[in-house]
Amino acid sequence: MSTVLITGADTDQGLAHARAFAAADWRILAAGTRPLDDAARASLGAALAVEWPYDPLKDGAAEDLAHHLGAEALDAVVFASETREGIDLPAEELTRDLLVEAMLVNTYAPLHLAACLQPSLAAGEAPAIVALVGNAGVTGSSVMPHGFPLKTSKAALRQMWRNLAVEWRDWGCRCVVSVSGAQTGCHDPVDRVLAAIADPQTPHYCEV
Amino acid sequence: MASILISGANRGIGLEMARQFGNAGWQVIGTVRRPDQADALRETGARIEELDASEPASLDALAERLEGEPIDVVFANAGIARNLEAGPADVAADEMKEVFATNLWGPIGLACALKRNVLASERKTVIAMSSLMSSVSANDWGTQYSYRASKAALNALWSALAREWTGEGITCTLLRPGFVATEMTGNRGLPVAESVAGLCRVVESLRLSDSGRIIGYDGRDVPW
Ligand SMILES: NC(=O)c1ccc[n+]([C@@H]2O[C@H](COP(=O)([O-])OP(=O)(O)OC[C@H]3O[C@@H](n4cnc5c(N)ncnc54)[C@H](OP(=O)(O)O)[C@@H]3O)[C@@H](O)[C@H]2O)c1
Repeated sequence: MSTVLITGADTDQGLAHARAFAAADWRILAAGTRPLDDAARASLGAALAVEWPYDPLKDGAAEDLAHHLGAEALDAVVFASETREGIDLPAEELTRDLLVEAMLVNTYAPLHLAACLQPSLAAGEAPAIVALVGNAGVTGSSVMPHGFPLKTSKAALRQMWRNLAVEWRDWGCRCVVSVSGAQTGCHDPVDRVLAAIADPQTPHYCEV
Repeated sequence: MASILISGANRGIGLEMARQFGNAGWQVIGTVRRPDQADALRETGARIEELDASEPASLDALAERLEGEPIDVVFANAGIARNLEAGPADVAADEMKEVFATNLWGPIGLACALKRNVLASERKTVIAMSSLMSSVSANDWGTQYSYRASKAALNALWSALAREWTGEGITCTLLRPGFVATEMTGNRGLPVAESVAGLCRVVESLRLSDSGRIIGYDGRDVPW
């Protein structure tokens, strides 16, 4: 049975991924700022192996998660933890701290956690890391008004995944970027992620 | 006479832009962190203003000093590169914060602080200095994590800004200087005068229809 770690499992996006992976017979390791509620837990059934706290803004959060994991192998990690703070603000109302925090949560935290999890991923079967970028992170194509912190941090996340794809291809890690956000009405972004992971032909860098 | 404000004008590309725009008859305001250490800029004849581009209070103070003065082009050039060789496990949060504050918030903070000056001018242009390292589609060699993240984010930011401000008549464009011999690159690359000559040509020719583009010193678009 394959194992996936999902950050932000307590969010709509994270839970949607957890449910789809559970339905595809994956074992789920859930990480989030809050514990899953009873309904969420029930919907995952026996697939849910464990829940760990993970707050991307907390110092040492990634290291703690890697420590919990120990020597366990990971076949996939889905980085669903994110902030949407400030997406309604026009440029004139952005502050430095808001923008930098969005970059830390949405860009740096997934990069840093991926780096901390590298040994577990390297022990996995055709491992994959999945960044949820959505249409907002595809520069020049998003028609969403404002959305500055989200567009910037997700575009940068996409660039970080591209970097990792180059640097980690020698040990077989596949870097998957989900660019079709659930909220944009594109159908089945989660299924596309699962299909990309299942396909042995999926290249080291792949946008779905 | 057209006017341009250039941040980070005490050395490197910013200094050479101050020189070449000045020679071409533009009125140049160069911003620096340490006006007492800006002799080379002073020699170009540029007016010198103090600015730490990553500090909100410093931007507010600059906007106050420049209140009521039309500025045709605001050029957010100041930028930093840190730890370019670091692997993903070695990029620290503090490094990311510093690079994002300077390379990402710096330009948008400057454009917003001086938006009224720009709107009062003829050319109404705000430019941010991007890099080939910003391009996701051209990234086939990795490295430079914090720098690449900041410049890819800057592209997204300026592209989004163009969506909002072009309707107000402001041209929001990203420029790419090429790989240029400055302190940032350990003095490897194109002679700075050559890159800047190209950048000046591009700036001179910008129109509102160029809003949302990323253009190289050679006049060619950079793929996102
Ligand atoms: N050189 C290249 O090949 C290359 C390629 C692509 C893009 N770029 C971009 O072009 C721009 C200029 O680069 P460069 O090569 O001229 O670099 P540089 O020689 O290192 O000069 C950087 C300039 O930015 C200023 N600066 C840095 N942080 C600042 C802050 N917080 N507040 C105010 N000023 C600050 C520096 O001032 P201090 O002297 O006070 O530090 C200096 O004037 C940057 O945005 C860079 O990313 C350069």
